[in-house]
Amino acid sequence: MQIRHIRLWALIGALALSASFVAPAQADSINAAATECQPLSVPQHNVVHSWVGTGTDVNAPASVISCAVPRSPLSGAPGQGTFEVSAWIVTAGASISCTLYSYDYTGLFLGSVSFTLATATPTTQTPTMVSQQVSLPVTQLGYWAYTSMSCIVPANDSAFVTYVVSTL
Amino acid sequence: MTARLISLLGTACALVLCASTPSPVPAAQLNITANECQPFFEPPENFGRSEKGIFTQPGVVNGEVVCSVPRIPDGGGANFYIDGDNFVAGAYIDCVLISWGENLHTLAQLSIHSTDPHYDVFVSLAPAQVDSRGFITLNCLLPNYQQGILRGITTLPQPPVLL
Repeated sequence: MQIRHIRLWALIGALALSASFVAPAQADSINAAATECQPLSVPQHNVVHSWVGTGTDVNAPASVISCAVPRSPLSGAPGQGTFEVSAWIVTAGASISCTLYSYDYTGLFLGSVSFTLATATPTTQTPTMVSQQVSLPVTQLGYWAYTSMSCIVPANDSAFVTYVVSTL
Repeated sequence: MTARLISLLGTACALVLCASTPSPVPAAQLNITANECQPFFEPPENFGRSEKGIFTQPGVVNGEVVCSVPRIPDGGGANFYIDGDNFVAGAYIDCVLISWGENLHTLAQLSIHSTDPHYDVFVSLAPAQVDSRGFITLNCLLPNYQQGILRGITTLPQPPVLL
């Protein structure tokens, strides 16, 4: 009886040990402020960085900015990647159009997703924070891929890209 | 005798299980596009960016950028891949990866040079060359005249240590 008890204990120990080694890793979220976004083919002075993120200067035209989107891929069997992008809408009716890209480390285009950051209605009280969640399927997110985002920020200081959270 | 062996095995398994539970979570891999890099004491107009990375504008020679290389310290060294393209024959990239200590002293400098059309350069820092409270930067002289692009930097976690 005692031997059986000991055997059972050994078996439980071994099983638990095995289970601990195959437990899946937790996905990491990377939260990046959009203050690192940069002008894309527009004069540097058109784009400003503030505590709420990156947008256009007062009296500057709508401009395209480019942002690095850091990611921390899981090894093993990754699922789709989820990204949450937020914006600070200063002027009622203003919106930001963005495209999130995925390129393999070789430079091969893997995929993209486009979306718009705007208030629910043009009459929503501003300034206000809005966010949009988008995803890319695993087939468009290689383990070694780099992700980035280009956004058209509206003229005249009317909306800012605030931050990006990537979860893979 | 058999009972003692089984008992020993059970105890060993339980001890290893207990020891493995509080072990730290392995550091994560971080992939970051190089369009986060900044001009290094140069006019910003000298550089262009795209969703693929950063490059010099036409007419610009020896354009230098500095890039933050984020990492999650795990008590060991650090490994990196640096990726990009040289679009034409004769184009090249020169980089130096610098490991900074907490008090801004240099722990290591690794030079990288590539003329490959598509480079994917692996560099590694030993544990003594990394300060868990320090940081890593990458300075690169980009190919002249928009003849190449610095695409990104991937920070790799240390390989798991088997007990």
